Amino acid sequence: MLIQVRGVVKSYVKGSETVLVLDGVDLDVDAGEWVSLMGPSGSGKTTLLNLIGGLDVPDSGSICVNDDEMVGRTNAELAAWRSRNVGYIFQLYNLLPVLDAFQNVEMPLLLTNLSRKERREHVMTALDLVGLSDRIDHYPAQLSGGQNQRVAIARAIVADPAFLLADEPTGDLDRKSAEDVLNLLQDLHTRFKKAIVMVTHDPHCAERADRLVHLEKGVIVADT
Amino acid sequence: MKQPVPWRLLFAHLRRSWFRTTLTAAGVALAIFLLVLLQTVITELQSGVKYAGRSRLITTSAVSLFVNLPEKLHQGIEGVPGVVAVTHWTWFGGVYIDDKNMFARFAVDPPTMRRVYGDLSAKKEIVLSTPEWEAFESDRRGCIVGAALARQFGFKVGDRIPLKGNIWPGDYEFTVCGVYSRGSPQIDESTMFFHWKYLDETVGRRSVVSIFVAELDPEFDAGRITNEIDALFESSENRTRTQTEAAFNQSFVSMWGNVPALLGMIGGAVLFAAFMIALNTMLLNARDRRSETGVLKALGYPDRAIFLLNVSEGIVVCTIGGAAGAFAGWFIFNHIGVDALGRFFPSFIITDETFAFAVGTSVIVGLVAGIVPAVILARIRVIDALSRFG
Repeated sequence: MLIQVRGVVKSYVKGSETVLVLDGVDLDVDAGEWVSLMGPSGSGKTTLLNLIGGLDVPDSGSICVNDDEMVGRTNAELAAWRSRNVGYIFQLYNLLPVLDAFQNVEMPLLLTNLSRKERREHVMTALDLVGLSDRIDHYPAQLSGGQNQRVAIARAIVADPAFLLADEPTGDLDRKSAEDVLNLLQDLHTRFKKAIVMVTHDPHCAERADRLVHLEKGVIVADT
Repeated sequence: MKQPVPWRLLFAHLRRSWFRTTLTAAGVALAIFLLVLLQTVITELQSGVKYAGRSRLITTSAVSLFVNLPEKLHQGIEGVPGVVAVTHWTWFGGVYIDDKNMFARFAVDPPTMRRVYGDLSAKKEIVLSTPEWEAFESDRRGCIVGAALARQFGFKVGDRIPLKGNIWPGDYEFTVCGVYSRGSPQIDESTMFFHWKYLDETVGRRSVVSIFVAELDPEFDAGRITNEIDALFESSENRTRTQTEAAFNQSFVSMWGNVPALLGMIGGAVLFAAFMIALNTMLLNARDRRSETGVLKALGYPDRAIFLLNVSEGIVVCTIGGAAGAFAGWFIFNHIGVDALGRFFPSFIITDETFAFAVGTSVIVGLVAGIVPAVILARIRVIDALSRFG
């Protein structure tokens, strides 16, 4: 088992009110598996994704990745763990606008002990995989939305993480670009057996996954 | 696992927001320039005290600095054990062509002046070649002028300088025998020295001087000698007040009252303004970088790296601005010169200490201005930072 979520509870304080977002969620994700999380707004799918990725911590429950418990770790430990294990793909790409495509993709590798030459090889391989090796010196503002998302995917995979987390990766793209991005994820999943946990609103997008998990009001109501 | 700071982002941010960066650096540069100016004024005001000879005494009338003493006291002072040389200065005043041509003129005794300040002394505070000293000694109507004064009026050796006396009535004419430079910061290079004997003859042998300067053997106790000199003339009609050169110079600094303190306060206010400029910029930067910080944290950059990245930006911007301001001051005052300041401070020079102080201050301003936004960004939760993205 790659990811094991047990009895996770998460709530947020909004003004004077406490909102329960996840209410005792259990979820298992195998290595090489592609899972889609679906559900209406506020159902807790993005919160669950953030908890799995170590961006947030649950109020209670357990999250194990490769049998390592994530709950109870310090910020510094979680940061180091994220850099080794998680590749993020965000809806709005979240590229750094002051860096070009090559530099954006290289950012996770600056946290490793790779030499400059090795980093360059890794970056070029990742950009080649997403079909953007001819755009290495382009800044995000000089690229289309689909190209930016492909750069973001290259950044997510460049350090060869244990799994990818994608939060509505096609949510900001036109149909053609969305299809390209999904094909790319499918290719990564098939060729490199990368586990993917993807949040989406789009049923067409969700169909690409091996499994579809449906959340409502902080609980899993369907797992098919 | 390395935990490096993504320095490339520092320079990329500076380049991207170049207008904001330039304005901030320019604001800090202006503030540091003013700080350098004020600090140098304070340094100049206090240089006479700082560089005063430790083994030198000044004897004036006990009544007032403006009451003259008989020249004959020279022998009495010279006879006190521990005194190795005595010379005297007499304030002349006078007018050179026009009242607006203001510079200090003193009547002195060249042979003893040479022993106390010149090439025959250990300190060599007045730098003049031996032939020029000899020419000055031998020509009763000779004079020497400081290098700054020579530059200001174009004086050179052999020129004639006419002076009209006011305190000491009469028409005087001097021949320039040499142009001296200073071997100590306390020596003013915009002063003219001439023979006291020429003055004394012209005014009818009044035989009075303004002050005596006694050079001491460093082995002897200056306090004891001070008391002995004053004791010599205690019962005479010419009671004296003897003090160290530092104390004497301090009395002139005291005439400025709280001016140095006031200048220091103005400098502090200028510095605070620079700090506010830098802090405002850094807070604006922090607001703009909130989302990027979330991305960096999501990628695995630790809080420490985020802190160092942001605090460094403040230091870099302020140091560049501060160094530019200090360099501008150094270039303008040390190499071009400012006439308006030259009249008050003939040797207005930005010292290495002042330069280093200014640059060091700008580093500290940048550090302090960068800390608050750096802490905010370092402590922000990843999901809070990312929630603002887009």
